Amino acid sequence: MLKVNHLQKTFRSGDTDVTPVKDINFTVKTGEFAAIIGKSGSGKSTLLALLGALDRPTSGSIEVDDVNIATLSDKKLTAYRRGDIGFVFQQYNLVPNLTALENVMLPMEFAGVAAAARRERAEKLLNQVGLDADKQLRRPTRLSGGEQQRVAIARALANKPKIILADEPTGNLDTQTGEHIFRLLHNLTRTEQVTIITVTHDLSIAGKTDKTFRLSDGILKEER
Amino acid sequence: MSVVTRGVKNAFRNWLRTGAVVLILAIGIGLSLSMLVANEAVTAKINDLKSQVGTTLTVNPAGGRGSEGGGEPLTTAQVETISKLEHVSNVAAVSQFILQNQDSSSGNFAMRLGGDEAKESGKTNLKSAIEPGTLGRRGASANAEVPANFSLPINGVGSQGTSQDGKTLTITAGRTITKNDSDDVAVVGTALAAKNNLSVGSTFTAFSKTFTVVGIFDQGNQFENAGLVIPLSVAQALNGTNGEVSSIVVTVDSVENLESVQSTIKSSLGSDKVDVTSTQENAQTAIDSLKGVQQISIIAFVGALVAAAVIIFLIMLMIVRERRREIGVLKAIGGSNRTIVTQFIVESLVLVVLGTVVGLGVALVSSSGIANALVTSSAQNSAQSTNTASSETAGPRGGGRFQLRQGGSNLQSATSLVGQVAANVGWMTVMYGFLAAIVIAVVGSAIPAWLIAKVRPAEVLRGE
Repeated sequence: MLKVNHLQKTFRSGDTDVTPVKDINFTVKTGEFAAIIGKSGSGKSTLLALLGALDRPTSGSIEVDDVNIATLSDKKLTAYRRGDIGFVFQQYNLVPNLTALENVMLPMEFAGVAAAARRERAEKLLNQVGLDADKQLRRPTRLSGGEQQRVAIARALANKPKIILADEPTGNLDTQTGEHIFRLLHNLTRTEQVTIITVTHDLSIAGKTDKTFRLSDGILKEER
Repeated sequence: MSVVTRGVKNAFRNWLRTGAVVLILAIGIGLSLSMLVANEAVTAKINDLKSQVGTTLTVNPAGGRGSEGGGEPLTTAQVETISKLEHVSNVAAVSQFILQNQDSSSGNFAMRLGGDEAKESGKTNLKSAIEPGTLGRRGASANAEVPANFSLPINGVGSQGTSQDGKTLTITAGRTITKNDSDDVAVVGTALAAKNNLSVGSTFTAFSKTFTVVGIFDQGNQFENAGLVIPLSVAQALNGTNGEVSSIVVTVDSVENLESVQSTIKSSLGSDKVDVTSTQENAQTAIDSLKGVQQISIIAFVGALVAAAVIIFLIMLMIVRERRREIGVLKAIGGSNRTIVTQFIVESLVLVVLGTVVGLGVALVSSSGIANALVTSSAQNSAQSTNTASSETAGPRGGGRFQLRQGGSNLQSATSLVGQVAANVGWMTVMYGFLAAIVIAVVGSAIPAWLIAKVRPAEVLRGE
């Protein structure tokens, strides 16, 4: 379970203090698919960075299975990102000079999984997201946007995370491919018991999730 | 794929850039290694020259050297005075004379003896081992013909077992001349012995006396091996110069004391009475110029190394800035600072090692040329500055001319003493090269590594 209490983030921009996230409280249960919608600059990405331990909050707590990650050391935060979180980005963010297979194996290498075991799991995950063996050996530049996002999802699943954080995962894809990717993520919550929190502009996608939150001027409200 | 493999793979992401970086690094590292090789070669040369300087001084009558000589002869009393001086370990006095073959006829063929005509000459039945050749005919009138029985004079030395320049004779047969010898005995050079079929026990005539050959010597050069040595007292008696010697060779206990003993001899015997010379001056000029090269090579070595480190630093800085987002991704998916820094250091190390390998090739090809160019240029500059200083300090008239000639001699001597330096890229250089490569890679990556550690994982969301 993910429980967020009075979360706030303030940073300095020039001479003024900016607070993109103001006293946010919400809970997402294990295996739920939640969407956060909001306008550009509403603080969606900042919230996602805080949930994924990419950044530290100014105040408040983020509890993942009763552990407050806001107070963890840098070393423990790295371990948290490595073991408990999987990221899916709008720009895919695959390492360009590695093949699709190598990209999926990378988080497992960081986690110290043996070479043979990580290869086996990476192949399994890529097959699961529908990338055939030939394409698994291609570099990202030789894959379409949809294929790259499949690789990114497989990479996010590599270390069997508790939570997947997706930052506009369909934002760069056409409607049909976006639908495919959404279905893929949705199925994961059912088959892998993974909690997914996605940030999106797409209201049609948000409408199909278990829970939707709207972020406006740093304040989060549950819509349904 | 391990972090090392990924680092190696990353080094070749952009072949063009990798090629350019390796080339630039190769030039820097190659130059640096060339300087290291030059430094080693010059150090070896300096040690060689120091060993050549020796610890001997030659005392001659003031102004008595060469064809423009004069002055008063040296005496055995002066030999005694010198032998009692501090730091003098040995004194060898020699009395030179000339022998002319008794059957030799010059006819109308005028042979130029220069200042040597001033020396006493006597007749002998020996024939010179040296043929006149073209050099021996210089000064002859245009239509002069060399008489069939013409023979060059033979150089004789009266000593107590030393050559003309005070070196101990290297005896190949029989024995040497000793201090106690006072009979008509002689040791002859290998060339003279061969020319006249002499061996130990043979006899020859000189100054109307019969000498017995007691030994054969080989000094390693044709000039000395064509001469002969007889006891000093016998030579003095034959020359009619009892109590006089031509020159004195003084051996000093160490190179460091050479200069002080030189000035002590001058002050003891009178600088207007004797000239005291050593080979140290020319050698010192050469050593000074080599030390200049040594310093230049060290500065250039460090400079080129620093340049290489700066190059890799800038390259790595550029790469890190360019890949901030990728670093953010690696951190976001669980990469630790240590893993990511290691990956970038491996990448930097691959570039530097490649640069070193090519740089070693550059050093292999260029080190000898660079070392010799530096040495030659420095030796000439050093000797020319000595010339300038000499001509400036000398008087405006004849003295100035004389000093300039001496300076010219310095130039020739210094450059010829230095000669060529043997610059070789040895295993030690290769080892130093790779050690330098590791240092360059680590130093050049240190700040970029710090920057990597500072990249926030949230960087990955920039522009999302």
